[in-house]
Amino acid sequence: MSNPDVPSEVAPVFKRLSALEPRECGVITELGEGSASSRLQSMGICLGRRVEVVKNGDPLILKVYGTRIGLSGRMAADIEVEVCEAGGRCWEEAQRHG
Amino acid sequence: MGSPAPTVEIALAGNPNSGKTTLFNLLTGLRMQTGNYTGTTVTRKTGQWQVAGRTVELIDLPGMYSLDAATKEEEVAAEVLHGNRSDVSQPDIVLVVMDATNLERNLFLFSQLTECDLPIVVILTMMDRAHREGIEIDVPVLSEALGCAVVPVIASEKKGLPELEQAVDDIFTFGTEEFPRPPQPSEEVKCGVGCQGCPFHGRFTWSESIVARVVRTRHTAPGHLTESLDDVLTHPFFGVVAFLGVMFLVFYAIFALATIPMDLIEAFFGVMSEWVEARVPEGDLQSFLIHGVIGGAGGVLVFLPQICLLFFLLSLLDDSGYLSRAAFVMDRVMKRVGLPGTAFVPLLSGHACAIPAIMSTRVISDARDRLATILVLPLTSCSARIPVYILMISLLFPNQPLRGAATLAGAYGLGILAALVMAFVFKKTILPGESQPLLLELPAYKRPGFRNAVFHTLEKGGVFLKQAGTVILLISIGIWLISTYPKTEVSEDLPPDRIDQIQLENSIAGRIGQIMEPAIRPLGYDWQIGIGILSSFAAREAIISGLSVVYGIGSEAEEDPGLLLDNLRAATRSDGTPVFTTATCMSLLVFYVLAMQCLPTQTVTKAETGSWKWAGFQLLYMSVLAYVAALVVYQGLNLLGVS
Repeated sequence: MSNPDVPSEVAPVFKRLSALEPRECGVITELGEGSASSRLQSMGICLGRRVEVVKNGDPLILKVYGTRIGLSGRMAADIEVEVCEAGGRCWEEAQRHG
Repeated sequence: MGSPAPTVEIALAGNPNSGKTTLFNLLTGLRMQTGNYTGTTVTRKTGQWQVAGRTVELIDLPGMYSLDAATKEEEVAAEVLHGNRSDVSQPDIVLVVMDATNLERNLFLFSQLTECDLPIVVILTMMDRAHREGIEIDVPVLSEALGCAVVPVIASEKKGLPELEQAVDDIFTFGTEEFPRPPQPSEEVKCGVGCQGCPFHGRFTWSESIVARVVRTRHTAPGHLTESLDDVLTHPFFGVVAFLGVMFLVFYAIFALATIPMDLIEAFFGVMSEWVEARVPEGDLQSFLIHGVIGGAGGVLVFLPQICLLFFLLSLLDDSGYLSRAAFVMDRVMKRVGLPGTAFVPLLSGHACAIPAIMSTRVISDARDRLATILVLPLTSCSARIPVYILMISLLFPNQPLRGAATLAGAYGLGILAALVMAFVFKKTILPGESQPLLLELPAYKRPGFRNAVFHTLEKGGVFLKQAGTVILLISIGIWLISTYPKTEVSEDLPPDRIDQIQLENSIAGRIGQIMEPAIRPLGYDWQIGIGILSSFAAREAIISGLSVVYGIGSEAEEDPGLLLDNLRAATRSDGTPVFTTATCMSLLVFYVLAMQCLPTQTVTKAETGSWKWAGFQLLYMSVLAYVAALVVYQGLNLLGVS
């Protein structure tokens, strides 16, 4: 039984991509105006994709699928992700990816 | 193919860094041609490929992530694949090159390519690395899922080529109609839940579903080597240090190695001149052949060793995966002047030679950023300026190595500063807009391909010769004409150097020099220096031979550089004061740091920007800049009492 008044253990945490720590990952939930370019999206930085921060800062390094991508902090600040927490949406997948 | 088409065209398409060019080089060898797609500066590279008993035209399309035309390269590639270009026809077959270590993203492009209605063969590259990383791909299942042949290829071992040939032959044999077409990505591709019509989401979901079926062990992390190297090479501080170290080595190699072939080329043209001198009677024809034709051709070719070495080394660095790290660490710095990090390597390369540097600005994805970089690149002190700097510094500070070295460093510093300031100005005025935010792939490090680098060098060297060769020859003949005619009657008794001097004074160039003296007097120059500057319009280092002639030492200056120095020091104005004062030398030095004076660069600017307009603008703004700066220096030094 779920009680709507008690926050669930796996309540999604949303953050700016630029606010993630190294080795943290998240599923992209929103692309702001400055980041919704087709270039970004065709490289795999698009809604619903899981990305991992390899190195934070400006510019930062992301791991998207098997590849590392350097991304400006300005763009990263314009992208919202749901942080992968234990038991969260992409946790299982993260486990599988190692 | 049903009807016997004149030539079958097969296009190679794939993501950047997918190993596409390596494969192209392997399949075509040296039988390749490069040019531009009409009305663009996008390279069109084609080559002949012997496959299944026929010769086909293989087209190396620009690397692309999608057909959505985020860059000019992608736009052109998409037009070619859709058959929408008037200058080239639609290819008959597409070979899609996919990096086996990153199938999800590569399949994204594949899903778009299936919409071009062309028979497709998939080539899996990087199979050896995939194997090392524990990625096992079920090729038959992948082939089944995509509805087309899938051929794993290991280029370094030439593995998989017979299978590739077979797959292409099957298309020839069974025709395009009967050949199983890759299926259109199914309904889920059109729109996933909550995707708000985002076409990317659907395609990626589709490619993930394919990967889930065909890839067995999945840990697609790049190897430990890449991780640990990147810890250092992308570090905000150590990354910059490492970058400067790498570039220092590149420059050292260029200056250490290029001198040998450069000397050989000069010696070769020297021998040719002597050959002509011995066989053609003295007179206009001989002078034309030696100074107009051989001198012009030599002036182009002497740059070639440096150009080729720089291309070769940059290609090795690029292939190793390092160059994108260099762009990554320099982005923070370059952003301040409004340029992206990718502009830094070209700017630094400009210190060897602006020509390969301008040609390598193609890594800059944004058109305005690229144009701004091209415009300011010739301000960096290329190696052709060194002889001029040395001459001026020897005049200024004979036997004072410390002051000399400081002045030399100052000249380089002024060039860099001017380039950055002008880039900032252009990005604020005629090319407004922030630099494009950094977005670039950092591919896994790998051992660079020697063969690729050689091919790249031959290709770029050839492009330079083709673009610059004819124009420069024409201009150098033009300059010979204006500095030779009209002829003056001079007594035969005078020494030959004196005759040359009088001839030059009375030629068109000499008269222009005299006419423009009022304009250059505020810079501290007399009309002889004016002629020297005019004669170095096409190639700045020509001022040395130009000054040698106007100061009456002629060809002897080449054998004894000290002689030219002595003569310049002894040169006096009509009032008896020396010409080459400290102020004049400084003013001339600053002028040569900032002035354009390189016709080969101008032709390359024209080729890379697509119009003479930008080449003309470059010449104009640099001339104005050089003039004003030299004026300020001369007048300032005079005010300070330095003469």
